[in-house]
Amino acid sequence: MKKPELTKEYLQKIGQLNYELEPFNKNQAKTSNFSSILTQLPNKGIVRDKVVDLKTAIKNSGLKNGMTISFHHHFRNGDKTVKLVMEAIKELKIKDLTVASSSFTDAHNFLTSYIESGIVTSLQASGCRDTLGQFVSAGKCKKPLIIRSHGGRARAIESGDLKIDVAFMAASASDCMGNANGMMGKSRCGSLGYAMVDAQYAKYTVILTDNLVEFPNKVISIPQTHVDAVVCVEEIGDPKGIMSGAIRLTTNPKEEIIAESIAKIITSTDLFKNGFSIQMGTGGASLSAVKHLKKHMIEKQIKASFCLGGITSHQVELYQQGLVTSILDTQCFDLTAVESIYENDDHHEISASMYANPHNKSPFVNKLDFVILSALEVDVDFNVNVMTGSDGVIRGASGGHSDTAEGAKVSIICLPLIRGRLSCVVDKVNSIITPGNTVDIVVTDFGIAVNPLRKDLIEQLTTAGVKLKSLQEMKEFAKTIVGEPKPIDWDYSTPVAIVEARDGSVLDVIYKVKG
Amino acid sequence: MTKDKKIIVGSVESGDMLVTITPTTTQENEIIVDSKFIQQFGEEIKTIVAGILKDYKVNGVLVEINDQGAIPAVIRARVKTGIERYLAKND
Repeated sequence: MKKPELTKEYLQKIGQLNYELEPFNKNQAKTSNFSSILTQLPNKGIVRDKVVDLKTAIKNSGLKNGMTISFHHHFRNGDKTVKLVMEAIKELKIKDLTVASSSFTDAHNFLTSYIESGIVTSLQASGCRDTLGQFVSAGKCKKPLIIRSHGGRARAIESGDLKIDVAFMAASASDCMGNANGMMGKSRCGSLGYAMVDAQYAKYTVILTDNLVEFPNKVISIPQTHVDAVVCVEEIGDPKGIMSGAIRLTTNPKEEIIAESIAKIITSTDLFKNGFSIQMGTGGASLSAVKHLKKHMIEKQIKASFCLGGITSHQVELYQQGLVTSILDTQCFDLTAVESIYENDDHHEISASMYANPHNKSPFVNKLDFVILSALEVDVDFNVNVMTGSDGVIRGASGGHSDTAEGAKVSIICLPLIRGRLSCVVDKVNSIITPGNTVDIVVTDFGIAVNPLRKDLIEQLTTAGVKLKSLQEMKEFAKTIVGEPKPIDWDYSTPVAIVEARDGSVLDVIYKVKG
Repeated sequence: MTKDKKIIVGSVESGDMLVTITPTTTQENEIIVDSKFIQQFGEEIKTIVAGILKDYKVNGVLVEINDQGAIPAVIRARVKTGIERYLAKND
C-alpha cells in the first residue's frame, strides 16, 4: 500500500477531532479563529478557601466520560502527579478520556494500562517515548496521538482546537486560593511555562501541591483568578528526575567537531554583534557549542540580549558572567536553572504561548537571532525528524523545534552524519516535524550545508572562509560507509499519530510499523 | 555441547558486534541476530554470516550475533575470525 495523500477528507476521517484538519501548506500559513473553550465566565460567589481533597476536586470539576484533561511535564521523568490523578479517576470510574499533556516522559509509561482498560482513549502531547511510544506506534491506542510543538499546543488551547475540560497542574508552592509557583518548596521544577496556558484556558483548573504556603504566596506564576481548586498531596514529583535523557555535556569527538562548526557559523554571520539573542537545545553538541561561543564573546566583548526556551546551567552561567542580559524561561532543565529563576530578577518565567504561539500578537521566538537544535535525521530537502526513530517507532518530542526554526533568523540543526549504522542525512525523513523551508543550516561532523533559500547566509559564510557542502554530498558519503538500509515497512492502513504544524495544519501522519 | 567449545569474538561497542559460536546437536546451522538495526540490516547480516559459513564448509553451529551497528567489513572480519578460532578449537 502506498502512503496515503494527506487530503482534507482523508485527515478528517483519521483525526476524529472537534475541529477540521487541514494539510500543511508552506506557502499559505493557516490562521486561528480564537474560539477558546471559555464561552462564559463563572460566578462562584465569594470563595475564601479552595483546598479540597483530590476526589472532591475531580467530582466538583464535573469531569465526565469523554472529556479532556491536561497536565504539564516540567518534572519530566520525576513526575508523580499524572499517576496520582489517573488513579483517582480510575476509582471514580470515569473513562474514555483524552489526556493532553504538554509532553509524555518515561514516568508516563503506566498510561498504557489505562489505554488498555478504556479509561484513556486518546493522547495529545509534544512528545512520547519509551514503552508508551512503542505502544502508540503499534496502533494500540484507539485514536491517533496528536503531536504539537510547544507553541502549537498553546495556539491550539487558545483557539479552542484543544479544549481542556479539567487541567491538573502541579505546583511546588501554592496558597489556599491557588496562587501557585514551581520555585519554592521541596519539589521545585522552576518555570511553569506550559501550565500557565492550561490554567488560564481550561474550564476547570486544579492545583496540586505538596507545599501549602501562607496566603498570599510570595511568587505568583499561576494566579488564583485561574484556579478552581487546590489539592494537597504528599509529593508532586522528584526534582532529580528533571535532568534526564537528552541533556548532557559531550566528550564525544564527533560532537566536538560539530560544536566548533556551530560556533564558527554564528561568529561568521553579521548577526553576531552586541545584543544578539540565542536559544540552544539540550543536545551535547549544542551545549558544547556554547562553550566555544563564550570564548568568542569574551574576546570580542559581545554581550547577548537574551537566552530563550528550556534553560540549563549553561545559560545561567552566561548570565552570571555578564554575557547575557536576560533569560526567558518556559522550562527549567536542571536544578541550577530552578535556583536561578527564583533568585535572579533577569531570569523571567514565560508561558508557552509567550514563548512560541504563532497566533498571538508576538511570541518571543520571533525575536531570536540564532537557534541551535538537535535532530534524529534530516533529508536532502532540509526537513527534520525528531520524533520517530530509525525503526519508525515514536520515541521523541517535537518541543520547540519547529517554533524556533521558523521564528529564528538563523536556525542551525546539528546531528552526526552517521549514528549506529545509519546515515542521519536521508532522501526522505521518516516523519516531518520541522518543515525544510524553515531550516537554514545543517551541521554534521562531515560538513556544513546551508539551505539554498538562504543566499545571504551562503555569501556571509563563504566570505568568512567556511567551507560548505550539500546535503546530497553528505548523504552519498555516508552511504559509501554504511550501505543502503532496507526501508521501513509501514502499515498505511493504520495511522497512529498526526503531526500538526505550528499553525494547526497537518504536516505529516505517522503510521504503524509492520512486524 | 561442552562449554570450552564456545567461541566469543568482538565487542558490544558502537559500530562493532559480539559473535558467539557454539556447536549444535544437529548438522544444521542456526543464525540468531539481535540488533538495534534489525529492521534495516537484519537480513543483510544473516546473508553475510550464512555465506561465510558456507565458504568455510561449517555445519552444526549456532551463531549468535549481538550487533551494535557494524558495517559489512566488520561483520565479515568478526565472523571469519570467530569461525577460524572455532575450527581450530574443535578440530
